[in-house]
Amino acid sequence: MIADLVAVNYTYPGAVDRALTCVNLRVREGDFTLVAGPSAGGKSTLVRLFNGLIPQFYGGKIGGSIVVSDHDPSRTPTREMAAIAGMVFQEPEVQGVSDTVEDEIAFGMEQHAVPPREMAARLDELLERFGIAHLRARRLRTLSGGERQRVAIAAALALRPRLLLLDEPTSQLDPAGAEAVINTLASLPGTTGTAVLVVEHRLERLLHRVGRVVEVAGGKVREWTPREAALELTAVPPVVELGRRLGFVPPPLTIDEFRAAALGRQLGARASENLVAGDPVIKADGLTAGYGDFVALRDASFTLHQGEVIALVGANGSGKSTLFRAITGLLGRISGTIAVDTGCGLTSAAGLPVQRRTAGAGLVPQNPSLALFKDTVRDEVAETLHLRRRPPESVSATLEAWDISHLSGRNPRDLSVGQQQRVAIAAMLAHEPRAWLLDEPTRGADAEAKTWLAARLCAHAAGGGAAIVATHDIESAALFATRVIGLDGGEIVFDLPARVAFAADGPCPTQIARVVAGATVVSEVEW
Amino acid sequence: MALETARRSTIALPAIGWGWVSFVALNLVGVVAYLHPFFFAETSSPDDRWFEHSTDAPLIFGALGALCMLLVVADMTNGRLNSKSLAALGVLAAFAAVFRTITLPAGANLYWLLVILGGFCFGPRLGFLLGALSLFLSAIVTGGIGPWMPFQMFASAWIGLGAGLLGVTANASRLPAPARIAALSGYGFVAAIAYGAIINLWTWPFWTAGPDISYAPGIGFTEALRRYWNFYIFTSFGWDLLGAVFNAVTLAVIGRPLLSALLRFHDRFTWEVEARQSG
Amino acid sequence: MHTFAWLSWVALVMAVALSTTNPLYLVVVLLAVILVAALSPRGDHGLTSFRVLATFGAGMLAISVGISVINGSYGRHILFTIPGPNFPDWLGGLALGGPVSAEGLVAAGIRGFSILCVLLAFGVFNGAVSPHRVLRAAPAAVFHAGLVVTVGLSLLPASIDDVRRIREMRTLRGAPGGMRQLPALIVPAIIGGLERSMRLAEAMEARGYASAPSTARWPQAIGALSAPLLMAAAGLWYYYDNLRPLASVLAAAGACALAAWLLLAARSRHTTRLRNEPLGALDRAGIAFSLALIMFTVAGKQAGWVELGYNPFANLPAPEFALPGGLVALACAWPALRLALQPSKQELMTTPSLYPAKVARQ
Repeated sequence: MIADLVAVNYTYPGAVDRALTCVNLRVREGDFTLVAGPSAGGKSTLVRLFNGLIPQFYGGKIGGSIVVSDHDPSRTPTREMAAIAGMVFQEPEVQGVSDTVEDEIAFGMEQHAVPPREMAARLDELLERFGIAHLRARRLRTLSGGERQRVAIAAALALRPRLLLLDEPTSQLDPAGAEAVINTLASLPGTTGTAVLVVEHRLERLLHRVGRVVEVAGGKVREWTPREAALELTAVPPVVELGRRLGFVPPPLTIDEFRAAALGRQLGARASENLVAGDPVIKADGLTAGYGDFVALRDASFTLHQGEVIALVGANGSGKSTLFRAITGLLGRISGTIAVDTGCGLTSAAGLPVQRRTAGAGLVPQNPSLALFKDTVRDEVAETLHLRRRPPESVSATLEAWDISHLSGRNPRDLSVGQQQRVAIAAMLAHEPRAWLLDEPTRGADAEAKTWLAARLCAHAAGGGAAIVATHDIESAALFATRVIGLDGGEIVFDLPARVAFAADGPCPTQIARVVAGATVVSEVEW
Repeated sequence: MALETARRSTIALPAIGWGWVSFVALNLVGVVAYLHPFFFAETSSPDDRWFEHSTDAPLIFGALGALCMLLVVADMTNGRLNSKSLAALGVLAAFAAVFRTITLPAGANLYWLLVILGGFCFGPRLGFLLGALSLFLSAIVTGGIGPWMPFQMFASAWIGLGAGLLGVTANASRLPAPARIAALSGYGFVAAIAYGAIINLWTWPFWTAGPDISYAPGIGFTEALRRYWNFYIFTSFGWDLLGAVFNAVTLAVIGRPLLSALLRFHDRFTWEVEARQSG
Repeated sequence: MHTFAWLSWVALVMAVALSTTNPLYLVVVLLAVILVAALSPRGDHGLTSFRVLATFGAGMLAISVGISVINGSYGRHILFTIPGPNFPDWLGGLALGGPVSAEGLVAAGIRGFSILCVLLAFGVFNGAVSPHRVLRAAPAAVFHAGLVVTVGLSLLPASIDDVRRIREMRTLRGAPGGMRQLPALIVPAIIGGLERSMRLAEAMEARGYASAPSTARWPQAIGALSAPLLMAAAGLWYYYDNLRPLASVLAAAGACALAAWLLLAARSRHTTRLRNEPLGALDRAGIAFSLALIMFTVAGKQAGWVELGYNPFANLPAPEFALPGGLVALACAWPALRLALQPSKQELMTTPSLYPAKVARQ
């Protein structure tokens, strides 16, 4: 037994309601546990109980009994707990204390006065085991997100903890990076006996690999096997959802299992209505852009029409953000032509400043909440309207449209990450541009937020608007996209209607498309 | 088991005791190291070979100033920085270093804005450290390590310390917000001039010029002060005056929103959680 | 070359350049520094730093001569007289203009030249030693302060990125440029930075950093005592000729206290380091050589073993070049020999660039 939680309650300082209520949980050697549940349901709080960050870093009131490897983490100095329970956090950028990979992995050992010779030996072993030996002298800044998270896992394991805690380690990564991190994780319990507790939204990668699932929702904790979880969880991967709707028992966890279960069942696809595209909103022709000598985007041509929502897909560095920056004029030197509808038909954007272009094509870059600085949500939205010389009366309508009226008096900095994100998008688009350009708006979002955004995008398109959404998340893109543009190495490699692109033989098939011919999302399947 | 956490402030200057005594003593020695041309001026008479001998003393006293800085910083950080104030100090120092390199017209920059507001919000102790460490960080990043560095660190640290004391006073007398901004703005003006006057001291003994400007050992306190004043007016006053006006204006304009933003963080990193058994 | 070896060399250049007033020796020192600069390895900011400091030094030289022209100077060989007004007495009574003597100009030039040598030496140091190496060389007693700076150093590039991205987002929201946008830029950048610092603090705590059990009080007290002792020693030595024996005793006591403090702090350190920079035999020899030469220069000047002075005010004599003085000045070139014997490996570029020219492939 590594950890035992009995009847644990916890309340954050200043809060009225408990963040966790009557939690009972046991962790044994070699356990591989997935912690799932909605955002702000208490998942992060739960994992922080094991290494004493709660209550020692956050404060608050705690009751019940916690024993982790014969220590009480709420009283043992966090310094000692670090050697018992290692932790990896969500954002790769803010975990690094040092400059180089080696120093980063050594940091914990240095703090614990591991003798230099021993330290060097452990370092070599870790670098070897995680396949990051070639990175050892690199600067952390130059690593990709996936590489950084693997370094963070190695760093957390350097002190040989019995328990490894991970708080959404892949939510900020692209699919390739996430896959590498998950594979690393899955190999841990078998080889070292370290128990792993991982908080994750991307269930499709983990559900079939873990030993059990812990759901944290509304401060309550429930424990299931993966099969039970597939039936009980509110948000599950599309194939699991479909299997559930079809009444398969036990519910399939993977595509192969689904296919096996669905043998002999007649599944068809509901035809969705054909889209009638309206007037062009953005037209790009032969767009080439880059930074210095590096060409990030080469000869891109496309037209965005009213009523369309384009999903822009491609690996990191394929030129998605560059395309947005070129359209809005944030990149100075580009070649090719861009025309944007800024309110009176399609006009050439050449010579138009960023402010004018974005009046017609509003861009929301990654992490838009970075720019929030007003004291209330209302002021934040009003700021954009003021800058755009719009009447201040439309603040309420904007708040309403983005479903944030109930937050209007709150300070944006006090909101949860998801709410902050929504406020920031609302503020950036408060002037109601016809075209929305969203750069990875679903990064780190939970299923509910993704569904909400998809609905918002569909409504915008139906109302005569248009959008381009850069995303890694094919499953949620299938909920809103009418067209898919694929970028690779700065070039457009395909530009297809969503139905074709998401199909089983298309460039980016969805899970559903791979099991039901002709359908791309769960709601299109007929039986 | 039931645990409740209480919060303990980590920002106040230590109560009168050893820490306080050593802090004051080391700062005083630092002051002496700085001002040695004034303090020891009356005790020996100039001879005709003054030119050959007037540079060893500034060298030795400069080294002593560096030693004091090292001792003060060691004393103030050992075992007294929790991870939160450490990280917050680090990030504020990083911003200050960035601001110090962005030179606006007339040599003005936003460095002082951050050191002064940081000190004002987080108290004299963190203010002192913020001033000293920001300057050190910007020096090592821009390749600005030199004999002037300890002097600059002390000057910058004192300005942070002063801002902290100003903050303590403002809180104690429950100053209304506009008065705080006015006080900060005035302080920023004085600070820029004071900084210029202090950091020019290190080069002064090295100059050789006429009897109205240059330092010579044994000229006496008042005469030294007069000559230094001339030297300062002559070399850097005009420049510093522009910087001072810029400080006053930026503090008046940005001071308020930034102050409220920093205050929102005040609790989060200047308080340490202390577990306490609850009944 | 080890950081400490570089430091000892800089101290040597300072000691020699500021001790001698003989322009011939100064020229030798200057050539020595330039030779070392040419052979020394440089990080990515090294060249800029060297150039900036060289310009600064040249500027100081010019100002030095300029001041002596404008305020007039001591000396008997009056070259010309500049008529000029006096400041009023209540403002210090600075006389602008006055007689300009040849001695004054020479003296000012010599001083400016000394400072130029010192600045160039620091320029070489800044270029050859990266910020991370400076931090690694910091004594154990300031471990925590060093960590603050390390954290600042690693957050620096992200802070610059943030400011840039926030400015972009302001433009995207329709804001014009200009100084009035400053609050909208700085406030969110700093809040964002502080929020990030809290997450970093949490990560550090989870990785085992905690405010360490503080060094016991008494080593701190011993350390703190060293400063006033040394200060008293220096004051007595320089300004009370008859108390020099007492000054020596105080200096010895202060040095012992200082050494004790550093040792005790190093021993009570509860952390280890992955690796310390290796201090090779050549570097040890270099450090010993520097220290010995510094002592020889300072003591030798007092005792008259080596004549480094030159006094232009003694009727403008021609400067003399004697072998002992020339050798002391030439010895400032020892790192050139050291680097020729065993060139430094090109070190990893660990200096964060303050001006990230372009966004990487984003």
